[in-house]
Amino acid sequence: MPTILIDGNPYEVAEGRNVLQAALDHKLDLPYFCWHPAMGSVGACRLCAVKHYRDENDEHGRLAMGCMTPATEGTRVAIDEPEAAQFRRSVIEWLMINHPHDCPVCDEGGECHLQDMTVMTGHAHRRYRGRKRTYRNQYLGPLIHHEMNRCIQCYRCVRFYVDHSGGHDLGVFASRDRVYFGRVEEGALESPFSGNLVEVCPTGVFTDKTYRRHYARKWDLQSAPSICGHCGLGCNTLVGARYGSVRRVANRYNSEVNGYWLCDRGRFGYEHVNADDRLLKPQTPRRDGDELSVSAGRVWDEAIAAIRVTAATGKLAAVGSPRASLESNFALLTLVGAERFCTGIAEPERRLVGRFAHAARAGAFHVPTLQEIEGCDVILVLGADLTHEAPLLDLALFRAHAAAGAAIHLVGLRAGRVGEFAASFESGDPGSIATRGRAVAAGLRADGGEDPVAAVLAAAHCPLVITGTQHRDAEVLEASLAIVEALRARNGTHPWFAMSVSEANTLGVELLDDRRGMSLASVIDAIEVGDISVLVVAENDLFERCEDHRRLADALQRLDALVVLDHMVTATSSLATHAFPAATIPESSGTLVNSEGRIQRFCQVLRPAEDVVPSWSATRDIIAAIGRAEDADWQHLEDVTAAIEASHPAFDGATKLAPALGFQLEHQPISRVGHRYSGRNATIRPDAPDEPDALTEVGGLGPDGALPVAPRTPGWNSNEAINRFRIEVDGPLRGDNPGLRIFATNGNGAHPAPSPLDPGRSPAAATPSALDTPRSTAAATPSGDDDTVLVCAAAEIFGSESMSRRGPALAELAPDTYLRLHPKRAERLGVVEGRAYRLRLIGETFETSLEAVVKVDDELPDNVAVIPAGYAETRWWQQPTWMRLESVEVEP
Amino acid sequence: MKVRTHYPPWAAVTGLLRAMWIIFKYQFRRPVTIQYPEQRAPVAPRNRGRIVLTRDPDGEERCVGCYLCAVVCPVDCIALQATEDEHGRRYPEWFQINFSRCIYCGFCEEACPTYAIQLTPDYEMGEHQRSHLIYHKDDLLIDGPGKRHQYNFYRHAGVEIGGKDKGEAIAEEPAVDIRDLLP
Ligand code: SF4
Ligand code: SF4
Ligand code: SF4
Ligand code: SF4
Ligand code: FES
Repeated sequence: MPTILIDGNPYEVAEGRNVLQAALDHKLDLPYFCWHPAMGSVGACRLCAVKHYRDENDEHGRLAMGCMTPATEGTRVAIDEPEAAQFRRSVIEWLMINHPHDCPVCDEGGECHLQDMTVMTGHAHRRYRGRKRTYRNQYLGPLIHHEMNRCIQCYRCVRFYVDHSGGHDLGVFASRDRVYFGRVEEGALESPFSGNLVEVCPTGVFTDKTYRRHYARKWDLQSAPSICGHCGLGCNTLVGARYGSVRRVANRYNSEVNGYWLCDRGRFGYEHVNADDRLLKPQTPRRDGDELSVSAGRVWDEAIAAIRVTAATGKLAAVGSPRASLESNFALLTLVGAERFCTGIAEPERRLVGRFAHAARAGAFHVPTLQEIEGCDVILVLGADLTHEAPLLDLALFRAHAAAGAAIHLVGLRAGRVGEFAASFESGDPGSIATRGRAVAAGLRADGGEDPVAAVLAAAHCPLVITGTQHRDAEVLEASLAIVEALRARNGTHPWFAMSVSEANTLGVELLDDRRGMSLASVIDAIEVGDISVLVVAENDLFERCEDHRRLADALQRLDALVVLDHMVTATSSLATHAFPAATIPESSGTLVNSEGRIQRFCQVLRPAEDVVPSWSATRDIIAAIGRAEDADWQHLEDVTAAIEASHPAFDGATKLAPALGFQLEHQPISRVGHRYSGRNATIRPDAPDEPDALTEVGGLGPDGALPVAPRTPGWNSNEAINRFRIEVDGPLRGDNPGLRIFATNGNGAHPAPSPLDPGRSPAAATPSALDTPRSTAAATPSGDDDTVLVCAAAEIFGSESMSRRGPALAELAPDTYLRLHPKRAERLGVVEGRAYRLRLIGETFETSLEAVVKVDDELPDNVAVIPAGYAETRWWQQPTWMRLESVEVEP
Repeated sequence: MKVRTHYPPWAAVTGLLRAMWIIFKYQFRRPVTIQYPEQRAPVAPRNRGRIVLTRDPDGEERCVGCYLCAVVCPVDCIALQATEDEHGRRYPEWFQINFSRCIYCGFCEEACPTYAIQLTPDYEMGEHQRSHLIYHKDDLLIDGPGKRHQYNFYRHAGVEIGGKDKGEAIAEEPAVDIRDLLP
């Protein structure tokens, strides 16, 4: 490690760093703007000036930019030197000449890097008396507010938006002192990562528009480490709340998961927590609709009476949820027993998830982290639209492409944004995607063969195969696994394989159900034959998991009691005999398992409304009320996690993910709020979460370790303070706790694989239903003269996920319900692009109707029709289905 | 400083006599007690008492909801929620001060960047119920500009609000034309 001299003191620095990084590594205050730990140096802002001396005899030195000066052995610089300090002060003074008098009304205020740097350089007095340059703002959509006057021309925004994340529609315009950062024309920013501008821009040019509506300063936010619940990647977030509502979501740095970034769904999807359509009181929807005619106590007593009776006769079952925590699912499992527990994942998806999870547990392949993916050189994406399914994977792919020149090959129904930088894209229906995958596998086995994709994969140093679950097609997964297996056989190394899953805890609930309880279809069968008379459903809308809605509704109506715990009003909760409000992720603590098999803990940020409790504790109370208190002897979340650890070896170590109850740092519990939190005595009490855990609302400042509550240190109030909490900049945090991986990991891909894939491992459902048999997607009808099309669903980043789309900002960005068809098919059906139709879709076992706008797309195979996945109108879709279409035009 | 711990025995007597002498002297001074409330002591105009929220010279609310008064308050007795109107002008949706906690230190007035919050010489704030000492926006907002007659924050700020476009603030150039390529 080289030793450099800063202000005459020797400092050891890591290899390959520059003087600015070295200074920050050693917690010295050297101001900067344009350098960013992930985006590196460009030397544009001139703020990080230091005096650089040639050698120990050099007495004069010269000004040099710290971020452009390599910290090599013997480098001698001075930060605390009059000329350098004066230079830095002048840079700020020049920038401030045009800076508006905005701090009081600027959403960056209090966490503004420009404010911090101005104070740090000591520029305190405005001497310039001339006029200020002004700009007009642009409308940039419902997520980002633009206030161009505040720009300091550091270029971080375009460097992030264009260079780092591959966006197109933000740029720098105009000349001399008129340079302008914005779009060619007003309009919503197109990149799904636009929210990161809020954090990247060191000033208040780009601010969070949703936060503006209920603005609070950073120092007033009650924050706790949380996990994004809007896709399977489990990005780390820092949720800020004030006076009982969630105000914003910001990135929480995790060196192995999301780094500095979040996607817009994760950042702006929080609005559902504050939405009006939440279930907030115990109620009896089947009897009274949405009227609250019965007291909470009555609803509870009735529900308990029903459950107690059926628990004795064995006609009780429970459906968990892939969007609920491990603890909530485990509590349900404890209530009904493993045989009567259903994960709540529809069978077509569950088959894929189960196969993937068990193969990964068995160590058949290595599931790389997002950071590792950035280092791959050839990536084959088979049947996944990552932009819309798992947005940050799209960013990882772009990084791999832009930084390391990785070749990305896509085979799928839709390319998404990845198509813009992919080396090839082949479009096909799920059946042909699988066939294509098999061909690649065959090509690999035949030494590259004729197949171009197989040839590049064969030649790759670090190949990676990624698939998704959106087509719900087991053949696509098997084809991907065949490629993985072929890679293993060919290279003799541990192949890398990743699969995006749709929800935050899909893998967790799948692994929790290790005894293979009921499938959803068998639950419905059992209700129909009277084998289940009371059903408890937690945080799940069964109408999103079942295609035959009429049959499902009939079955749910037949139940003596349907007890639903959820935080949203859903189709299922509206049929419940007893519905109880559950806590959302920011309102509770729990454990989730992401798509790379990482167990992570989210901590309660704010106290929910009265009557709202986490599903696990409501279920515990049910268990106690039916006289089995000893089965659920849990006081705190930790007790449930410990019980899971004891019964499921897969989750070993889950209790160590957060500081233990009673943990203290310097004799104080970790605080959810900083010492500047205001208004404590204004008679509005700080809304202290009531669930005791290691975090409290009073006490010391957040620790600099495992759970950075809201990073700030004296002099560093912006999110740049994160560098103060690390051993070295861009390295892991001090006391880093990036979660626990439960899949066998093997970072470098150079080790021999332990075991080949065993196709027989995929466990079948214990009680199979006729509906569980996979439906063939192989062309049942040769396209051309028939009206039958294969109806597939495409994930939409804004709109397909059930929670985030309830917020107004993301709802505005979600495309209207559409039906995409090949032009030939549209012509046969007699429908025209851009018009709305009422469609009847008639399948073999069920039919449904849909109102949608027709979109014509000639890249689509002509036997396929695509609808958006997971919309209220299309949530019946569970797997590709051959259906006949009939259409009637809807008058506009 | 040297602290004296032992006193000579006669110190008790001299101390007593000295105290009696002081009391005796006060017999010949004018009393400071006045007959409140019939009589009132004069208060200096800058005396710090009841807090008000003032308006700018145009009669609009001055407070922009920046939260600086709330954070500087050493007893944390100020709470508010910022919001904005349809033209982007920020104002407090609600604002409350708990005068049973306020220590009249005046820090909020010093911190306020818009001269909105000001302390007045009024000190007569007795209430029978403690909860009545929590003043809300209607109780706090007055109709005038208080001690600062001229200042209007939005005439200096760069944000546009209803009735003030970009470039129309004090000491601002008109908004630049970014399509202009002239050097
Ligand atoms: S960007 Fe920073 S310095 Fe500029 S107005 Fe906003 S808070 Fe103030
Ligand atoms: S808009 Fe922000 S990030 Fe972009 S150049 Fe200006 S100050 Fe820098
Ligand atoms: S990529 Fe997924 S987990 Fe990450 S922020 Fe976006 S929705 Fe959330
Ligand atoms: S400091 Fe002034 S402008 Fe800011 S919130 Fe308080 S009263 Fe309003
Ligand atoms: S940080 Fe070094 S020049 Fe900007």
